[in-house]
Amino acid sequence: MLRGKALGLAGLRREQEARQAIDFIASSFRKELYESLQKQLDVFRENLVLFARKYRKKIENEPEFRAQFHRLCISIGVDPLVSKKGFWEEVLGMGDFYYELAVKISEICIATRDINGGLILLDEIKRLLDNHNDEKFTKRTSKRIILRNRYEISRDDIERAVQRIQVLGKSYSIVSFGNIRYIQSVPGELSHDHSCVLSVSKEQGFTTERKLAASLKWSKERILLALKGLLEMELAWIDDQDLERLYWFPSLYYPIDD
Amino acid sequence: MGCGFSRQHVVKTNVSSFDRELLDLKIQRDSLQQYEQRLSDSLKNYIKLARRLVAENQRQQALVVLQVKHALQKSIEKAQNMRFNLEQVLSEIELKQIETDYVLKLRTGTKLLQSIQKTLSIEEIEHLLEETKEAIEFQNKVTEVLGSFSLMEIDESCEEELEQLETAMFPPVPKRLEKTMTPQVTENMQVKSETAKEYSKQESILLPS
Amino acid sequence: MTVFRYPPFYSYPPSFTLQPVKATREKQLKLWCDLVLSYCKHYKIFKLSVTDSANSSLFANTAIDRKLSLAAVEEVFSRLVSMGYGEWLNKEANVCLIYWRRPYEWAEIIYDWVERSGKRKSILTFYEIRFSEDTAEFEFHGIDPELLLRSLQVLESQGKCAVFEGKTNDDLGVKFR
Repeated sequence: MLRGKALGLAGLRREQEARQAIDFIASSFRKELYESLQKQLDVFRENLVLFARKYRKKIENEPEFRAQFHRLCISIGVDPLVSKKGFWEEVLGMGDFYYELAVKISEICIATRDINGGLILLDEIKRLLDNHNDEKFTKRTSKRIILRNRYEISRDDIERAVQRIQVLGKSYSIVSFGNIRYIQSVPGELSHDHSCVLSVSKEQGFTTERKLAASLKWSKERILLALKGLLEMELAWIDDQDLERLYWFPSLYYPIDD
Repeated sequence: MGCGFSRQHVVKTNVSSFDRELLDLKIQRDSLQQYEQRLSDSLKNYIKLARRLVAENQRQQALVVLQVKHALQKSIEKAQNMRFNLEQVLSEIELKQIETDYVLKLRTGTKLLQSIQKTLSIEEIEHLLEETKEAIEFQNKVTEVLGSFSLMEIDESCEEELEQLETAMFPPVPKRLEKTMTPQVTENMQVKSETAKEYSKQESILLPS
Repeated sequence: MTVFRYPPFYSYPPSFTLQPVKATREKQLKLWCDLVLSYCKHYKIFKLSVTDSANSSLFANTAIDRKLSLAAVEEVFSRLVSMGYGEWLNKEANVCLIYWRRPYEWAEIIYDWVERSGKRKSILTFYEIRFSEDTAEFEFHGIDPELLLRSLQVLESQGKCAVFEGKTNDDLGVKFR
């Protein structure tokens, strides 16, 4: 039992000592925990490296497998898409791949921008890349870049490559409505109404005021406003040589150059 | 275009009356060529026509057509001859132009050569060569004379002067030190490049402490 | 001569309607101008009449049942001329010289031929330059006489030649220095 003034002081001191002891134990425990986690993570990463080395070919050649591997890396805090300098680049050699893909995608966007106003279907990019790949593969050169093109490119790959470009500047984004995905290469927001109009016109690549009224059930003003917006964003062209005015969307449909 | 100063660099090509006449000749030739071409085309048509008539058994008419065709062929020949003559004349003219040009240039060239030669005669050149030879000989002599004057003499006289200076500036070595003087020390005293300071240092070392 | 291959936009219906949005119209006109130039280059056409060409397959695509209106065709020609790729020969008759090669480019090609074939210091007729066998494999063979005149005038301004008429003829010839 403690009593008296002196005991109060002693008590305080004992309390202090007790607290210090607890803190000490707590921090060493934290330290241990931290260390053990670190160790685990290191082990995990080592295994990842081994795994990556062992299945390198599979990663490079199969898009599905590549996607899963990528998810795995992300989950343990490793970004396999780092550029040239990283340790991961050497192990996986993926940074180069995505970087080159990103370059090709931006080239395609720039080349088609005049026609489609900066909005291009993801599938269209894939189609162009696939055609390009076939062409390049038939030319037998020893350049490393040509060899890389043998890899099959999936939609996921395209999306990941676009994510890389996004780091460099905000104008590239992945836009989707319904289950259709687009790459937008110009800044600017597509409003919900605009997206709806595009969505509804996906099938034919064009629409009319009447069609929109029938499928969206909007007021005439709302329809005209949305169409006006799309025209001004250069995503739509008018065609007055039919029975009524047609609105065409180059990003949805455009004749192929063959 | 329209910049004033650039015009000054442009030389206007002169067109003479002769040129115009020549052009007329060439245009004449062109007309003949076009005429020939027209006739040839007609000829082909007539041949086709004749064949068709023969196939249709219109012998009389085919004969007429063939006569026309012959006349045409004669005309073509005539035109070809005329053109050929014209071409000959034209190429003669061209050749003559080149020849005249050539002679003119030759004349100019010769004149140029002559004027160059005027500025120098053979005697002048020989005289010049002689003078040059003398100058070179003189130069060689000068070098020889200068060369025989050796710098070594200057060096020795300098050395003498230095010794005199030294004996004048420093008092003679005291007698008691003479015994302790090593041969090396005496040699050192005569080294050319030694400064007075070093010299006195050497002496102080030898002085009894 | 092979058949001209039309670019993709020629098969795209809205290309034949003059676009109201300025930026889009600019792109559209540029596409049409490029088409006119490459079409004329392919078929070696040196001049076009506005009215005639408006009804030709150059500005009308029967496959998609679309054609450019006369007003739009005139816009295209105006654009060509203002960009320096065309020149009005006869504004009333609406005939326009098409410069799929500019006069100064023709001038260079012709002068190059003159030098290589040793025709310098000689007199040539326009007919000769346009139709003689010597020039058969050169691009300027069959060139429009007006265009030839303009090209030679470029050379004239550079002091490389003089264009003149004969004494008794008013056909044109040229003398190279």
